[in-house]
Amino acid sequence: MITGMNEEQFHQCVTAFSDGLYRFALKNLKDHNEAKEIVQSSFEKLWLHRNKVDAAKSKNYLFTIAYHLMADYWRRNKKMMPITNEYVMQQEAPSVEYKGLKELINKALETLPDIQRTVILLRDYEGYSYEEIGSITGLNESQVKVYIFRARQTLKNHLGSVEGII
Amino acid sequence: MMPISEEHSILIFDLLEGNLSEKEKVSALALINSDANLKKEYELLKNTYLQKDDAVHFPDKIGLYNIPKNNKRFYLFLKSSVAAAVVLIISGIGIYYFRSYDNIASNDKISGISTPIKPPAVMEEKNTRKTPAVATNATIIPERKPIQTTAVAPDTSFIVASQKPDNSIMSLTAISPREVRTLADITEEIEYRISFYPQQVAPATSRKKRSLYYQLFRTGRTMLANLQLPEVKIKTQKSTHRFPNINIQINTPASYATYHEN
Repeated sequence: MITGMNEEQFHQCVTAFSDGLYRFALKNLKDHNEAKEIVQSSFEKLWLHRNKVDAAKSKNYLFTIAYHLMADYWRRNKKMMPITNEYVMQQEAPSVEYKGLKELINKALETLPDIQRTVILLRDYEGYSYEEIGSITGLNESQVKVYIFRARQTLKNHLGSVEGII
Repeated sequence: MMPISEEHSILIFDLLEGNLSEKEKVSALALINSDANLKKEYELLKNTYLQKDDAVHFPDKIGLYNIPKNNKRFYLFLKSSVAAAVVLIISGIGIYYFRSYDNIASNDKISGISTPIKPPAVMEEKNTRKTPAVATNATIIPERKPIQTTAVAPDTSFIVASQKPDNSIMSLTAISPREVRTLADITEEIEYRISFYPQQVAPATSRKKRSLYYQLFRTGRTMLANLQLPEVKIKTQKSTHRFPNINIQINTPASYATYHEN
């Protein structure tokens, strides 16, 4: 039975999830303003539908909304990004300028396809299970697992090649 | 580094993802430790796990707390809805107001109604000042003339009054495709009655033009009623032009000639 949310619970959601949601959007979009807009829109929708959303499931709801908003953003900007990820990988040959592993990973993360980046962020940042990631992104568990596997392989290859250079 | 098999890649992936049971985990670790390539692969894949960047915070958290009170989009939507509703209501009233006149005109059958119309007080007063004689006549119903029944052809239409878009001079003309005595009398009389309205009092404001239009229409209708013509319908036509073009048409039905001949 859906109990809905009151104002206090909504405020608790803001405290608990706004940073994570912002990190998720920012890592995916690499645009502070867009990420901010997505977080605001997600919380706005949560507030508007507070009577239909369980407080316990509010985090999933927020990430689902944010994912759909980002998918819209990617769709809108599809024409502006004609370069394939493989091409980007080749172009951005790893250099020794990278200072640490974290920066290397972050750089490699940008080259992943949108869906792979999304699932790996949900998995590592938020600790979601395959099933939960599936419910957010509209994929089934197997697809989620495959995307995570491919994403990790790509990141691993990137790290391996850098290690070779260094 | 030697490439490893896909099977081993999946095993290492499952190990790191926590998809293996305890027993499987032990055997997988033993296998990895026994092979340098697998160990290397394991270490590389382990490094692909992202660490949360806790330094990143949402910059406008206070704004989010205020969403319930200052939901700008919601209020914008609410305001837009109210504005749209008001416009729709006003439009609806306007359409109803205009249509009602058309319906009266098209459905009106002249059947012996005798209600003389009085020009508006202001106009009457104005006429009194300028042409007192006309103003006095405005309230008097002219003497009825006998109807010439045999002269009307079936389905004939006559435009008996029209208003030019420029309204500064209100032109009232009686146009008859045939010289028909009876309807010429009608038009004369309508023209005569309408002429009481001062021709210069129609300034170029749409409100007054509309007002004049209704006065003209009502006058014409009443005049036809006063003439007591049986089975004659009148119809107004409104132009789509911004300035109303007024045509009062008298359509004689097919049975009209027969009716009077009998």
